[in-house]
Amino acid sequence: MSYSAEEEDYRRMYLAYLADIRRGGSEPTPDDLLTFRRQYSCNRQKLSQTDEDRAFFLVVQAVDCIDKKLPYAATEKQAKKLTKQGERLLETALELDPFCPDALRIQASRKAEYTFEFLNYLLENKDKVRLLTKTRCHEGETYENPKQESLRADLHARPYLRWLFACVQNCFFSGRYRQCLDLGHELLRSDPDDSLGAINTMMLAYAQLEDGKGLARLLRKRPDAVSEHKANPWLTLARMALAYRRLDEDAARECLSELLHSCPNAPLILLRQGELPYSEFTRPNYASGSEDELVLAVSEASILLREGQDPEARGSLGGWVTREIAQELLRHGYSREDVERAVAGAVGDGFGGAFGDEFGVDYGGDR
Amino acid sequence: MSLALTTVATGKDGDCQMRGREELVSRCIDRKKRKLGVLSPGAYDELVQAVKEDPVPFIETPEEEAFCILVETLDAYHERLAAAEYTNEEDFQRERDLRIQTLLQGCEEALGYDERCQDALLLRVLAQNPPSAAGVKELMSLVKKNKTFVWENIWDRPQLRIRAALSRMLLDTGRYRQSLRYAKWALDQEASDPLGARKTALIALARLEDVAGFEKLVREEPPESPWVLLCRSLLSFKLGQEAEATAALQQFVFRCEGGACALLHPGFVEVYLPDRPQVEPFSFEESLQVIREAETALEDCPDFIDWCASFDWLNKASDDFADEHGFEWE
Repeated sequence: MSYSAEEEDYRRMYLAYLADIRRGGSEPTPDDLLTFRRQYSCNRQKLSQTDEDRAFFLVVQAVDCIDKKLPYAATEKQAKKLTKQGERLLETALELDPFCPDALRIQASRKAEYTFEFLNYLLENKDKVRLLTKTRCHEGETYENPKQESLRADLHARPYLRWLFACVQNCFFSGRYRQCLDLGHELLRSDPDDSLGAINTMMLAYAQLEDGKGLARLLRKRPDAVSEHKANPWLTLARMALAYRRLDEDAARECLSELLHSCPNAPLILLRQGELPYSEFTRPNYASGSEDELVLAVSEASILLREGQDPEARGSLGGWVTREIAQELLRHGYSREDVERAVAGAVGDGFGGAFGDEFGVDYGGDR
Repeated sequence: MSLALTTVATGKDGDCQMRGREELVSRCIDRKKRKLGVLSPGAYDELVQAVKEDPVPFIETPEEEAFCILVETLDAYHERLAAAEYTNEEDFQRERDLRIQTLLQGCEEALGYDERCQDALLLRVLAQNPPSAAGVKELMSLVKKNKTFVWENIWDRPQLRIRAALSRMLLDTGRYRQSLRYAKWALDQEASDPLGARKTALIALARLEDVAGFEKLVREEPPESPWVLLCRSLLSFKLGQEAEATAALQQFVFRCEGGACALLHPGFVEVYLPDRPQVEPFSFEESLQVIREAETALEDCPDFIDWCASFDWLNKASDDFADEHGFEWE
């Protein structure tokens, strides 16, 4: 799993704190960790940091406005305020560190009128970002402690990995599946642990290309993506789409059943087929097997669900899932009226605040 | 949506791909010939002449009776469609509903004579089902799998029409490999491709980003056909090959009448009953057909239209065409 913006900032500051102690000639002690924690939560700006660190902290605050608060803004006024706040934080970050990859990337995303503009920007600059992060890592102070040195290298790489992951995701949302897969493989070469979960997006891309063999090849190469104990909802959704598209409704139904039993609110989540706003920092974290995971997977799979004409305007697969769940509810003894109400309620409902759609790249709503 | 576009997109003078009368004549000739046994060339020619002049006396079986009713029903439908004029949306909808009702009545009448009349069954499904999973199931129930069907054999044509229609509906409902499967008879065997199944296949291959498949098929189509040009532009765009995509787009806009206009303002295209109507190659009608059939594939690549609209030359071409033809949009 990747770090959230706050978690990453914490680790960056902690490493800087340790380096400071060593520069003073002593070795860090467990007490130092406690002191750091206190200082970090009460007085972060007093901690030793570079302009790059300050810029990253501003990005953290911008992400808080844009990714966390903005989608749930209660009024248009509040939404505008949060947007302006986020934009200003990013601008200030870039004044401190003009090459801050996360700030550049999020700013480009907010400014681009169309996804293809943003995608071109990402693709044109990905190699520069890679070089930048490598150079910064190389020029920085190394740590003797191998764990800390490994963390330092990892933290330096993260902005590049997020940049590449944004390429993967945006290619997928734009219907550029082979590009998505190529970039996904590129990301896996740089991040073999797949901390950002690129494989999940790649599975959905294989489903969109109706390439069951390609998906099987990916799973053979990455057996870690498939856990024996917990089903991966992205994989199940991909398999369901592949089965449905080859007109094998029985196999599709089995996959749907697996999803419906994955957590208590699964039927509602799959009925709603809600689409979350685009997360600018990176895909949000979730606990494996949790409801959050299913919500996120279904949201990203909206491209699979919404494709193709269907009288209920939910897409060919989306319409089928809706009708199957309705049948299932009837079989469980719910009245026809209750089921119709549940479906109408779920279909009419959406995620996010009233103005969540207007801000950020909404890859779902208008398709 | 301009109402003027609705009639424009249905083909010229009620022309439809299915040459119903010709097929009726061929069927009657074939039945009679089988009944009479071996005929001298002279006698055969006389038979052909006689049937062509008036096939009605040669309708001797319930199957031909049904087929004849179907042909009349279809001709009437297409004549009515070509002649229709509307001043508002309500009129349009009312006339359309009536037209389709009449067609369905004709189908029922035909099925009264021959409940297995494949074309009547096909028309009934297409007239009552918008592209949908249910429509696909209905069409699949009409598909026969016991032999290979060829266009030269007049008795095979209904099945080929069913498969072509199924291929198109599978495309519309986002099942591209299955769409290719049912277009296969045209891809493999029927070089002349009378039902234009290759056009459907080009869209499916572009959507699936199957470059090898696409290039292979493109060799069998006219290189500058709007189908090839638009699909190539879409395919190249999806692969991130902007220069190739732009070149193909330019050709589409400048060679295909109203191509830019059709892209930015897709017109309503009437459901094909039963086949894609014949239109003048490179005409505006053809541009509209391409955009309509590629709709699902285009929606899957939402950036493509935005990207097209970012070109000044494309917008100008669209505006110029609209001005020339008096099109307006709300």
